[in-house]
Amino acid sequence: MFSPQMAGYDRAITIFSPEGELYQVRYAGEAVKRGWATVGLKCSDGVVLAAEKRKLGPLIDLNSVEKVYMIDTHIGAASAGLLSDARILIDYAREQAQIYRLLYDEQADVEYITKRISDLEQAYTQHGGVRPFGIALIIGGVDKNGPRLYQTDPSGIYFGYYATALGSGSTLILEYLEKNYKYEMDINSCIKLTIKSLSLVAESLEADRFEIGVIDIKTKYFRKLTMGELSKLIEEAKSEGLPQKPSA
Amino acid sequence: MSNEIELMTGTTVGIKAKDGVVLAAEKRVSYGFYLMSKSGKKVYPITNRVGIASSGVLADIQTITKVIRANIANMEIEMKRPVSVRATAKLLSIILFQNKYMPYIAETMVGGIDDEGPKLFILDSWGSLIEDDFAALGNGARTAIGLIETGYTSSITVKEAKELAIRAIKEAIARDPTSGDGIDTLTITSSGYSEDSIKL
Repeated sequence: MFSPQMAGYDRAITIFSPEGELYQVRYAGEAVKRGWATVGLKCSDGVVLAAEKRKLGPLIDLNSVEKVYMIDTHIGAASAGLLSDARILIDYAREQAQIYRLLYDEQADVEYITKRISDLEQAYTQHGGVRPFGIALIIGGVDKNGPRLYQTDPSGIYFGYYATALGSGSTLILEYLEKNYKYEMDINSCIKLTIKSLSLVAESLEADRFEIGVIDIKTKYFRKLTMGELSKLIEEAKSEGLPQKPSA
Repeated sequence: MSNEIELMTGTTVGIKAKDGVVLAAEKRVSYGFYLMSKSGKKVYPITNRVGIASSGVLADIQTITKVIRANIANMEIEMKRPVSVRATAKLLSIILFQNKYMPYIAETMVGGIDDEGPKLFILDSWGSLIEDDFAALGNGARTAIGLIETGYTSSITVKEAKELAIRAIKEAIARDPTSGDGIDTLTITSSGYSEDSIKL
């Protein structure tokens, strides 16, 4: 199963392979790649965080599945990977956002929260007796610096993005976004572009298959789109023309 | 010196002007009937845009200043942007409140300029945080505040505010035995801060 060189180096997270890799961290990245598709976009008008939800069984109520979370009034996050791990990071981020408010009487910057999360993720790649988080987060919001979008991964690294995607099918989504993204967009066009990109990998285009969080630059307030708003925007996106799904 | 209020030696004055903030304090360090020093510094810049000024026990003033400076310097590096006056004052308020059972004997004001314009906050020993247009702290405050109360207008300039602050402290020095020996001022405008020391 393993090549002789690799054998043993994935047993503990704190042991480097001779190539300088931490295999457990790489495997955690695999959990992210297999996650449901998740997209984050920022534009001149705000930030959009979106995720696709898959029907795990005919009787599951998709409204109860949460992949896009409010961190603070002005920050949201979307996750791909092990959702149970995401919950821990989200709780931590919410706590950090409140601690920041308590300490400084102002809202935390999006990058500050991203860094706090990344620091925790990094700690889980260096200490014994723990495993890395099998989760990657797209963190977006509007702060003093304007619209901000970041992505973290299990290794604890983070980068800023204009648009980014995670999970299964993310390569396809990114390809589409690279061709169609522009920064100067109003928030509705931004949401529609997100829906179009997710339609490339989505099982179905029913409203309950999508979860979308929006922070616009005027209100600086995170809110989730309602089913009604979602259906309307999906219809609009459809009439504007959805991208062609590649044949399997 | 059994009463804590009597330990609040000195006079500190802060005025928010339309184009900046002026903080001022006198230089006397006294312990009861002994005048220990004539060169106590009680006004400090924290960043290019934020400063603090205090009355009370000089050791406490110096410690508060150093703790706030270290925290804010670190915060500015981490946040990659200038810190707001409110954030500086709120952090100080928390540090003071955490020590409420063995408080720093100091009344402090935090002033400066940020995205929201000129700002002035005052804090007591226990960390209450109050935003104001002008304030006087310390034993000499009762004498100093009257002058500012009548001399202040919301259209006051930094230049006028500095003159008013100096006059107010001189008035306090004339009647408060714990205040005297010179005046330090800190003027903060959008172009930065400048310190000045006046001999009497």
